[in-house]
Formats: sequence, structure tokens, C-alpha cells
Amino acid sequence: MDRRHFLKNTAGALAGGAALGGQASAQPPSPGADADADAMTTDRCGADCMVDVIKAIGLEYICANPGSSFRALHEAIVNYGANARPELITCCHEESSVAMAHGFAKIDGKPIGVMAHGTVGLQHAAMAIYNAYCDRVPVYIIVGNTLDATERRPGVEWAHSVQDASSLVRDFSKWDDTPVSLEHFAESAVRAYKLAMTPPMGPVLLVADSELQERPLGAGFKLQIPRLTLAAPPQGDSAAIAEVARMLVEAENPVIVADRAARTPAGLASLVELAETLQAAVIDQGGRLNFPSRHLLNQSGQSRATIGAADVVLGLELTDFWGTVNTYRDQLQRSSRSILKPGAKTIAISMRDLGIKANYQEFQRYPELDLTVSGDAEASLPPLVDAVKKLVTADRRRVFAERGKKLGAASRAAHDKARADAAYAWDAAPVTTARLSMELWEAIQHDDWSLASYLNPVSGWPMRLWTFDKHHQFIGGSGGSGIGYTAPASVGAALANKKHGRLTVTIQPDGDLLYAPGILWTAAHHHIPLLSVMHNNRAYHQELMHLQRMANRHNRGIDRAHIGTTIDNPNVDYAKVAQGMGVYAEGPIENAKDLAPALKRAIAVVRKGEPALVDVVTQPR
Amino acid sequence: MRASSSCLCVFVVACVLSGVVRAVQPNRGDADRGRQTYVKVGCYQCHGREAQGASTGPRLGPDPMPLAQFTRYVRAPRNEMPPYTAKVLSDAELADIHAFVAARARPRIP
Repeated sequence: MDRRHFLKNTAGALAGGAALGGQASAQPPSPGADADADAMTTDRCGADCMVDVIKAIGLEYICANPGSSFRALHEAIVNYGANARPELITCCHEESSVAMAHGFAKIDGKPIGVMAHGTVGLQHAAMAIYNAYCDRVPVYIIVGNTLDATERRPGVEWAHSVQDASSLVRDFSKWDDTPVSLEHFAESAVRAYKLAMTPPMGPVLLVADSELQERPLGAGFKLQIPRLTLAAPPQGDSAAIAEVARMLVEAENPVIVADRAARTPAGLASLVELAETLQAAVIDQGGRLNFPSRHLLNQSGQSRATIGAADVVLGLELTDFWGTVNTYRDQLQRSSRSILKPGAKTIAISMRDLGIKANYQEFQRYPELDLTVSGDAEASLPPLVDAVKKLVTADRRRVFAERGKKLGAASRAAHDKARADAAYAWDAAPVTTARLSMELWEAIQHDDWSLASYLNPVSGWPMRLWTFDKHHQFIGGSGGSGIGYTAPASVGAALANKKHGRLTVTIQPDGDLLYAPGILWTAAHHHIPLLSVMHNNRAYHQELMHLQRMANRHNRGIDRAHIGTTIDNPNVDYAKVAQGMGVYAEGPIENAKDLAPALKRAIAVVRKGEPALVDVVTQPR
Repeated sequence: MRASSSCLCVFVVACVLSGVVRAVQPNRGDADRGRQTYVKVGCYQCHGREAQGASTGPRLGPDPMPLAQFTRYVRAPRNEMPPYTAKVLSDAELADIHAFVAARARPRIP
């Protein structure tokens, strides 16, 4: 009898026994009765080979909420693989697993793994996968499934099995495969890693069939794992790059706009070199830290005016070029207009047109451009810098120097204005987001720090007030604006920063944390040092403003805009939530004067290698 | 004509005595009442509870634009601000809000 028939017959016997009063299930197994069943007891199974593959491609961690469809792989990781490279990170929700991997990759530059059920786990994970896809971040996902219907255990395993697991996320993942042999698994696993890491990067997914995981290996079986060779990222066409250089050098007011351009510290350095060579204005849209925040050429604080004065706009990996050069008004009337001055030229260097998919429409409005270069911006910057340098004459250098002086003055004025603006309502209760940002800056500025949260919820204050000059100090946002990203992505970023001894901080929106607060337990359990400072405005504030807009547009007043948008009555006590998860926590802090001492105490905990949370009741934005 | 002028004069005096002028010249708004209205109609959602401003709306005080301009803007705003018609926010209430934002404290430099 093969295993398939054994399982069927066993199931039948149990069902029959139950019908007869359950006696069959109470009988001890009879030795020899399973003599013709598949032998599943073994020293080595298919999952061991999968672990060999995972080690070969270098996944440092696997984030997972446990699930029976990958039980053999889980067991092989912790026993056969000794729970080291990869180390299992226990997550309380699959969305947290993927978002952790998302945050990790944005610091480390490479993916870690996620394991999940191919059905219920992947459904939980889907939104976080969408974020990673929109954010062009590599995440390596392995899902368990039992494709062969006759091999499924009765009951739940059927509900947890699917014909084509990957189809759920195929619209917003870069590549997937369903290997049917271990050799196939090895080859596809290596291919998946390579594709995830080739710009435009993105999440990839492999299905690890349970039979492949659990089946004993034949005597002498040795898996051949293909060598992993990462692809050099594509540079823009050399003739096109030369034309871009000519346009930039000849321009009177060139403006460089960057969004997801700097994938690594080298990308930031290249952009600085290009900007300084040209003495050109730079606007950092914040998908990554593309440019130092206090650099005198940084004009991000006055982006509309800067773009409006430009005669050439160079966009580097922009999510939304159209939105960069147009205004859009959604108010009394819906209207849009270009902010470019007549005759201004637009250039894009981007991977935006490669790997584009149809169904999910994150690709934004179609921009009318004068020159489009398909190529990875970071890889294309060094040849662009070289081409620019070759064209710069002494006359142009003098013009550039004058331009640089004006930009420097504007940058200093913007910073002075930011500090002055931050001082308004300094002692207000609830605490202003400016005060929160300044107190946090005072507390961390002498450390090697890394901010893992996005800036919109706190009015962009950190970028206006702090000095960001290292790539790891800022990792941008979620990509797809799926809420619930910040908390787990921050823990992932902190995990990546841990080996560097960096102090990771996050300004944690309250609504975001409530999606899956179990991530706090993960941080405590795995001793991941992260300082979470709650931006607790007790609302889904973005949506509250949308309700306000609708109510006023419909002439009804906003008295009821809080319904369904606020998080109060009762107020959530985030310090207690965190303490319940084993995290050091203080708060709620309502008096701004209490903030600095609380941050000091919390940072002392984080410096010892543990997470800490400070709950601050804040103004809306 | 003289009779009409006299009537007008009486009307104005009566208005002053009865406080109606307060409604037609609303720049004498009440800051305390303005704070309550400012919160009630949700100004703080974008401009902050002390009108200090945020990415969602500029600082409004302590040096607000003149009341007439303030009122025009609130009725028909540019950019992303939601419009407030007189049906949901009266001129008198707007004057109170104007008084509230004008009374905000100047900052000390942190």
C-alpha cells in the first residue's frame, strides 16, 4: 500500500469508527498493519534540501507565523539547519512577516525570507506584498501547499490547499513558481533570488509543496544547487545619457527630482556628485534617502516653486512624474494644471516602464516627457556624472557657482523658517509633531541612528529639522500606502540595523500599530532594539480629513466626521499594550515637558538591546 | 430724503445699542468662543489645535490675514482646503475663529 492509499484507508477507518461510536479511533495501532504504507520516518527529507538551498542563497532570517503546510520546512530550519542563517523569527501575523522583510531589505539591501500557508497565510500577507511591490523592494516568500489532493489529510488541509497558490498575488509580485521536484525547487529558488534583486526589484514567491518537503530522500541523493550570480543593474543607453548630460549642462535652472533613486549609499553619493558638479537644485521625494537633508542644494522644502522655475527637470525613479510637474485639486472643482514654465524640458531615468503590470494601477498618470531613459537610476548616475563633467566649461562653471550660491541661501532660509515654524505651540497639549520631532532629535542625534518611519503623518518635520546624511538614516514609506506597514517594517529595519549597533527609531502612528500589534511581542521575543515613539493622535487622521472634505463639499458640516475615523472612547493605552507584550513602555505623555526624560529612559533600554515604546498623545499632524 | 436719512441714523444707533453691528462687523469676534468653534468645525484637523500649522494646512495665527480676506478664503478656498459655506459656519462664528487665531501666542525659540 502506498502512502496515498494508507492515508485514504486510515481516514476511512476513522470515519467508520466514529459512526460506530468512536471505537476505531481508540484502538492502539496494530504492529504490521501499516507494513505497506509509505515510510515517512527518515533521517533526511526534502525540506533539508530546501534548507540547503536557502542557506546557499543567503537568506539570513525567515519570518513566519507557523503553519502545517510548511511544517517540515519549519522543522528542518530549526533542527537540520540549526536555526542559524536562516534564523526563524516568530511573527504573529503574515502581514507582519512580509512587512518585517520589507523593512529589513530597505536597510540591508537584500531580502530575507517569509514562510506562510499558501492559502490563509498568503491572504494575510497579500497587502504587505503589495506594499513591497509598489516600493520596489525584494522580499522572498515561500508558501506551503499540498497540490496532490490524494495526499491531503482530511479536514483543514483541504481548506488550506489551492491549485495555484501564487495566483493570489501574481498581479503584484515579480515572479513565482511551483516546483514539482527538489531539483526544480533549487533552480527556481536561485532564479527567484536573482530576479528579486534585479532592478526593478520586487517580491518573489515559491511554492514548497508539502510532499516535496516531507518525502524521505533516497539513499545517496545529492541536490545540485545552481550558482547564484546577480545581474548587474541596467544602465541607461549611453547616447541617451550623453543627451541628458548636454541638456543639464546647458540649462540655466536644472532641477533634479529623486524618489526611489538611491538604492544604496553609493546612489546617494552619486547624486551628491551630480548635483555638486552642476550646482543644481535637488528635490528628494523621500522614497529613499536620496540626498542629504541639510545639503545646500537640497530644495525639497520648496519643491513646487523650484520646479516652477526650472528649464530642465530630471526625474530619477519617480513614482509619479505627472504629479511632480502638475497640480491636482480635488475640492470645489476637480482640476489640474502644469506647474512647469513654458518650454521647460522633462527627462526621466527610470525602470518604471519595465516590469509594469496592468491590473493594479500604481503606475500613475502618463507623463509627457521630452526624453525617457529606461535604466536603473543609481546605475546610470556614474556615467551621467562623467558625461556632465566632460561638458562643463569654465564659463559654465562660473554660472553654476552663482546658481549654487542662490540655492544655498534659499536652503538656509528654509531651514531657519522650519525652526521658527516648529516653535509655534511649543508647549501645547496634545504635543505638536514638531516638538515631538525636535525632542527625539535631541535624544538621538549623537548616536548612529536610523529612522524607520515615514514622514507624512508628522508633517515631514524630521526631514525639515534633522540632519540626514547617511543612506540608512531614512528608508521611505510603504510604497502602496497599505496601513499596518510601519510597525513591522520598523522592527525589520531594526533587525537589520542590529548587527551594526545602530539606534533604530520609529515615529509610530497609532492606527498603524493597531493592525497587528503582536509585532511588539516579536521585537521583545527576539531582542530587537527599536525605540517606538507613538504619534498617538487617536484617529485615522487621513480618513478623518477625507470625511471632513466630503461633509463640507456636501454642505453638511463636519459634526459627524469622527464617526468611523477616530480611535477614542476608550483611548488605547499603548504603553499597557506594549508592556503586555514584554516591551518596556511609558505613557501616555500629554505634557510636552515630560517627553525628553521619557525618551532618555527608553533609549537606555534600547541601547541594551531591547525594544521600548513611549506613547505620546499628539496633535493630528 | 431727510426722513429717510433720519430713519437710517436711528437704525444705525439702534443697531449699535442692540449689538447687531457686532454681526455685520464681525472683526470683534470672541477668542474664547472662537476656540470652541475652531475645534467644533474641525479647523484643528489640518491647522493644529493652536493654529500652528502642519503639512495639511498653514499656520493661521497669531498674525492672521485680515478678516474679510479670511472669510473669502474659507468660503471659497484654493488648494485642498474644504469649503465652509455660511450654512455650516456663520460669519459671526468665523469672526470668533479669527479672534482666536489672532490671540495665539508668539513662540519662544526652542
